[in-house]
Amino acid sequence: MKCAQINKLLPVYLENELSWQEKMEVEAHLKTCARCAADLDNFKKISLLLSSMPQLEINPSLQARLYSIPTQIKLQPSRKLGLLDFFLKPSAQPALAAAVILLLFLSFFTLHPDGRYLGYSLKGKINFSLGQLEKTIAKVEGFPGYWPLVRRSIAHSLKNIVQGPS
Amino acid sequence: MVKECLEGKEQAWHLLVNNFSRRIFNLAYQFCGCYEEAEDLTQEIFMKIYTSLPKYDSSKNLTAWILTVAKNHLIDSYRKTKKEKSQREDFWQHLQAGIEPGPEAEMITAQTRELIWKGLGQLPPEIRLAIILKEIHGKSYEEVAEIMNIPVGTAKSRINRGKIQLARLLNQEVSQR
Ligand SMILES: [Zn+2]
Repeated sequence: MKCAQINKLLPVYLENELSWQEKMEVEAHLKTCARCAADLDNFKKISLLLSSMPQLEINPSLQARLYSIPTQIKLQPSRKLGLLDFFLKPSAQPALAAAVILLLFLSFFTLHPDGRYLGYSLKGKINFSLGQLEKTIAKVEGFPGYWPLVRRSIAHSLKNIVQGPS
Repeated sequence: MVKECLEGKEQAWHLLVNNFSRRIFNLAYQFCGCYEEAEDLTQEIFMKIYTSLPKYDSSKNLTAWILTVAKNHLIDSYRKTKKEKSQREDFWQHLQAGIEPGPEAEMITAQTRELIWKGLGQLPPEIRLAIILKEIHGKSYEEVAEIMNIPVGTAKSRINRGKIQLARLLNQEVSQR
């Protein structure tokens, strides 16, 4: 065998994983070839160096951060429960403001003694406002598919306010 | 331990962290060669471990499972960042002073140690990780294969290729002297 072939077998030889025949060939070559014998020493050195590599201590602040992972993850609930997250987003503020104005507007009419009568003409306006509100909310980034649900419940509440509970 | 972690028992999670944090941090540091990055990687790996705990099959070896999560994250983040090979920090700067050099350590110059350390960074990531697990962490070929989800033969050839590449570096060093 040539040196290049022997060289490839040396790490395997050190692991004692060669067949008996290969092992004999390698050993015979090592006796006559100083270069391959030096290579063998290098492989030994590498294994020794790596196995004696000191392990570093972990930084206590990192350890503390690792301990707190369950709390961190609990503090950021998954998107499925993230409705509250949405309302806390700065970009959601216009939508919230619109909703507040709409409700104020409604309460003004519904609390008015004649509110019940105004109610029917208001329905169209309410639907229009709801549409506007929906558009504003749709612009808010990252709002997942909750809107139909929210819209239905708002619409239901508004219907109750305007028409009285059904 | 895993079951108790899933039940939200704080003590169980602390126990898991205590058991594996130093190992994972060193693995990450040996892999990426940068102390701060290794800290970030360690935190990310433990986040992954925590969120993947429900998927852990309790009939399997926990250490191997945790190391597999670590391996996946290390390789993925390497692919994403494609770090320059030469960015490895000097290993010894993070060692606390006063470590007693063993008898073998005296025979081998610090320069050679540093050469091997830097040489690790020149190995392809899969080969590097296999070498680290086998040679530094003392895993068997079979364990390396399980952690890396590859056949044992592949693990063997990766490790051998890695050693040959490191040996070439040593030879270059010798011929330059
Ligand atoms: Zn030879």
